[in-house]
Amino acid sequence: MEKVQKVAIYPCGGVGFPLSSVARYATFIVTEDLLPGETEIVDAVRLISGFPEDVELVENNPTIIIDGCAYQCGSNLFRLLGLKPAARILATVISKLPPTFV
Amino acid sequence: MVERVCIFPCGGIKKTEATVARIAAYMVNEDLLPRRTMILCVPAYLRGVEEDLVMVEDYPTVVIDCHAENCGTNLLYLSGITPAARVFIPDLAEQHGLAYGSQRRELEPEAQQLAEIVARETARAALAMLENPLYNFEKQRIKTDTCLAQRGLPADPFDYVQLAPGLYRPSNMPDFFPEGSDA
Repeated sequence: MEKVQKVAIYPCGGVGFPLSSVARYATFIVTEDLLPGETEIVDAVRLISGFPEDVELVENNPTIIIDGCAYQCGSNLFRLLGLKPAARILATVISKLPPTFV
Repeated sequence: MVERVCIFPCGGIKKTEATVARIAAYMVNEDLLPRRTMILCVPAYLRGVEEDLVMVEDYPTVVIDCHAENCGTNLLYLSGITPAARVFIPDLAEQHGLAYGSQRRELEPEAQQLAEIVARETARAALAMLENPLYNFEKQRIKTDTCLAQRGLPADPFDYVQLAPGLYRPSNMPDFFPEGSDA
């Protein structure tokens, strides 16, 4: 079995709920401070635009999705694209907020 | 008469200029035109959250593209929606001699200044749509069979016409500035 060289991190990337900003900020912390060079951010709009490096990133490496709320937009995008994440973090559980909130 | 305008910041995360686009959208939505604008959330849009679909179908959209890759424009194109206008950040950065900086988490002062300029230009276009009684926006329908990944994209899918530095309109969408006024 080949050793994993890189892990892709996909934060939900939304703008409507504050927890989406939390997800995005957490991703910057992981990729810039905690595991630089070993992790890379998945950019949803680049991915769906079909940029080869973004497509290859999620096809060739395990992805951790950070979902901001119960809409689970990150997880759902992967489902729509036929991809399976290696793991998912749900920010509402960590924050002890209701799954979807306003 | 248009009641609200949808603001669509490109939704990217890798580039600093994507943060400029997002912060600019918050400024428009919270400070400059509160209750008269809505922000499109890309992940919710792709997931099919009703309010985000209605946002682009029933109201004119101003897309803020942060880079020549045109991800915001391309997403609308792929889903069959024509924006009412596009604000292109590189044009405004060049016009005002401002840089993006290197901080994606919080913008550096120069990038913050650029975000304010982007916000003002976005609000200027949105306000024209809201207040020009002759502006005629027709509702659109999203393509429901959109499979978004790895489609071929034309270089300029909406044949943008430049109205002012950084501000564009698709050639087949109505002008929003009143006739005779300077764009």
